[in-house]
Amino acid sequence: MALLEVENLSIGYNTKGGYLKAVEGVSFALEEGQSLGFVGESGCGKTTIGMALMGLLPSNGSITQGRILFEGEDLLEISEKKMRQIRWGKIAMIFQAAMNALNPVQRVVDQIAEAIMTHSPAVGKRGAIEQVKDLFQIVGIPQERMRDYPHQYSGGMKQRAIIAMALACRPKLIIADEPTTALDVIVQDQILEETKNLQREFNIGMIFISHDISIVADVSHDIGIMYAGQLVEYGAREEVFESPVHPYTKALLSSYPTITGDRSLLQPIPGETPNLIYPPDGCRFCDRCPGAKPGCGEESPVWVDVSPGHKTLCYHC
Amino acid sequence: MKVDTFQSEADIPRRFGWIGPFLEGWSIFKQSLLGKIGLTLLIIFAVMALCSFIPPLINPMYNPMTGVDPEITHSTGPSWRHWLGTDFMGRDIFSQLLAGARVAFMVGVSAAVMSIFLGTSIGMTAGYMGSFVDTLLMRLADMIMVMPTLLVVLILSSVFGQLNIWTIVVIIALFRWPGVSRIIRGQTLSLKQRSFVEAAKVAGASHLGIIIRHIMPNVLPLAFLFMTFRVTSAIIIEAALAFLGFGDPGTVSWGMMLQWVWKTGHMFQAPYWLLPPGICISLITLSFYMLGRAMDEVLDPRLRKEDQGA
Amino acid sequence: MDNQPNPILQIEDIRKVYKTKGSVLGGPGTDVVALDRISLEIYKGEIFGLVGESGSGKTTVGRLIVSLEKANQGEIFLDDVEITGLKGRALKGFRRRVQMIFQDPYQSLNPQRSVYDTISEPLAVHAIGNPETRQELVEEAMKSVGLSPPGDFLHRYPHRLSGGQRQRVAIARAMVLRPQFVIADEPTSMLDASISAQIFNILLEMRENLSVTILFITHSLAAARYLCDRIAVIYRGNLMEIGPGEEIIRSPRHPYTQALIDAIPKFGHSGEIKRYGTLLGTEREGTNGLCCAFFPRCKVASETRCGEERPRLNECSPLHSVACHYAEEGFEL
Repeated sequence: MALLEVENLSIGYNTKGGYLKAVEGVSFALEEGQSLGFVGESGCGKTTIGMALMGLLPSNGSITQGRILFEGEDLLEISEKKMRQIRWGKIAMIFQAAMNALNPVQRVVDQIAEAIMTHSPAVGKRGAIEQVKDLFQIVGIPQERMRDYPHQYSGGMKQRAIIAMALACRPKLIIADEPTTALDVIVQDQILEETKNLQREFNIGMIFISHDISIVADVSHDIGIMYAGQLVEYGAREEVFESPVHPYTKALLSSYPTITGDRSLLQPIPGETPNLIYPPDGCRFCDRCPGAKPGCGEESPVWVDVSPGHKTLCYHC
Repeated sequence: MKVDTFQSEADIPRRFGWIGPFLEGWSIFKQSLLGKIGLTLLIIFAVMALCSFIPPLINPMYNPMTGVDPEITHSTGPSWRHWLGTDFMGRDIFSQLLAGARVAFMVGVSAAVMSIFLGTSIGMTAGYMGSFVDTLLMRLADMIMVMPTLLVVLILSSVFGQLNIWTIVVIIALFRWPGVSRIIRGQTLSLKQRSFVEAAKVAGASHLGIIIRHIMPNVLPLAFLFMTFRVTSAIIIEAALAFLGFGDPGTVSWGMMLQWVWKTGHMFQAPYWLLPPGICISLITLSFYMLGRAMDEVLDPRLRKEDQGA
Repeated sequence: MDNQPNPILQIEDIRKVYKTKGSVLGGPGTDVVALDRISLEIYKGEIFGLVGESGSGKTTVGRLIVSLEKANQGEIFLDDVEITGLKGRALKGFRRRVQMIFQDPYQSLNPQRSVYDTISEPLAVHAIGNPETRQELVEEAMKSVGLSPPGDFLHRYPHRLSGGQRQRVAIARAMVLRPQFVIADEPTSMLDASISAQIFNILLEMRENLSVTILFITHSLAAARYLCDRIAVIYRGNLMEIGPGEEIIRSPRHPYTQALIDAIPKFGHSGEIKRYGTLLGTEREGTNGLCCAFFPRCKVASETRCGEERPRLNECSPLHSVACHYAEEGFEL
């Protein structure tokens, strides 16, 4: 049984301009100890999926259909009390604005100890602090910096502290939403390396959410490419990056400058992402797609298997 | 998070560029119950103020200040002839109430406009110039801010005798700008950091040009918001002064009416005389306040934001 | 470009120090050296990339060039004219020739002004043309950044533009004066990848069609490689390496540049990449103010040499200079 199975998930927001279909019909599965990366541009719904998995959608958001099976249990059916135990206890999250996730007027060690004690009151204050010591060892923050306040930490150390906090309750699944966006490239590299090691060591399932293909490519076993609220291509990392099938994936890959390979002209994707309050009929990418055919704008595309485990939402691929 | 808003409304011609934002603001305003109540009340008061010219035209005895009903020598209750009764001299209370509405608007709006003008220009100057100009202006603002306006006006009027209504307006304006200037200064400081101001600098724009084109349009909505609150405070100060007997004896304001009630000992004998001006003062200040609160919501950028999450 | 490079902008020995305020409970303010005596030359018609991490001082270089800030020491020459002391009319004339594109298009457009107002402002400031010719110039600038047809955008306000459209407006504003020199300060760091690529290509077209020289400030070596003819790597206010873009990427000489290249996540063609491994696992203490800026994190460094003497930029091959004691003799790990 997979650690996490998401079936046909659709999420929308009530906004002033109308009902925004942020995520539509997304399905994926994650095995224990594996990692899955979602890549997409802003507004594609990747953050919304993370929030939905945590049960933390904003008040104007709602899940309109689908199931989220975590260890065989549908998270959408269980009580809020049970969800609270699962949240942080079994599913932890590293937020997008991780830098602001620490309380500036409390020592870092106390914040993490508090998180531990909320979930398992039995350990007591001293036990919790012992655990924090171990966690800091794991994420590589020196012992003597434990009693510092957050502002005394560098960006990289704050991020490590956040990872320590996510690890605090030994979760089965960690959702990392743009975990390194604000960091410099050298620190980012260290953090990603660290994360990969931790994941292996503790056999944690991870979901990486990022707009940056290269980060996701670095850490994930499986990749999901998202566009305008839909998953458009899904498969193993090597498959998706080395033989992309969906026109959007291809376009996205050729719009990234790299330091390897030839220095060829980037092919930007023309146009802009569609408005999700009034999403276009048929394929949502067809306006910007170089290979669009007459039927693309009318009929909704269906999933096509490219090879085992690699599928795409496109008729003509 | 990066959010790309993309809308496809019909384009609005250039000269009416403000209509789009205005309609958007109006649609938020309409959702606010406070705003609707406030606006309705204000319209009623405005109608009252506009109608204040009519009674004296019907019959000179309805002149709020000088018109005296020859048949009446003391305060009487409501009747067909005098809808709200008369005061001790036989003057018509209803026409006084209408005239009071006009004075309240006059005092409130002109004092507010003046104090907002002062506060905005001083606040922008202080925030934009920075360094010693800033320090100087803000210390001045602090000094004025801690002085109780009412007390100062009382002292002034006991020194100079009875003050003209316009003098009172000017004094209120002079004493009520510091709060506004502090807020406008803060706003200016944050705008100065925004890169559109730096872009204008790099383009070669002068300081004055930057203030007029880039700072002012962005602080004006806030200034307008504070104007509604300043109207309230100006009306209350004027009413308090008048009630204490330091008002302009040549105008009929609601505070003045209350003073007459009190001075002639009708406080507990003539509710038909005491209550209307009292209620009007409360309601007009309340309505400006409610209007301000609703405008606050209109200007709140968090409410303007189109999409959350996603 | 011809073989004899022709410098349009020269920066000489520039030093910039920010003073921080001391805390309320005593303790004096500390000086933060943002730029430590930097010199460089930018040639006419090239796109020059300045690459560095946050806090490296790369943005400060741009702000000093456009006179948004004053340097504590040193000189800047545009076409052999010293510009740091310009005032009044001379400054305004200089402003017409040097423009800047800012990082965040959500901050760099005044929300209360329409696209036309924004792009035409520089024209109005410099009293160029009359209202009709101004509109033509604005529309021309808009077309050149791909905002076409201009009529669709001319009277829009920023809140009705997407991030990419906003940045195009900002570029059009910078270009409408036909400047000789433009500074692009991380123009795509707030934008999505597909939109960034559009902006990159606009900058390339600008250089081609308007023969403008561009200083491209970025944290991304990959973006710099794509756009730039030459790249300079800056670290904590010190220039570490300057050279032709492709050479910097393919054969970096400075340990810091090598560490940067190591750290960039690679995908796709991972086979051909070698790791340099020049980054020290745990930082060591810098011995004194004189040590090499990268000394605390450098695996190659020696206490006696790098810890005592700050290396100067030295030419190691034509057009390629490195500030490292070991660059010439080479190092093995």
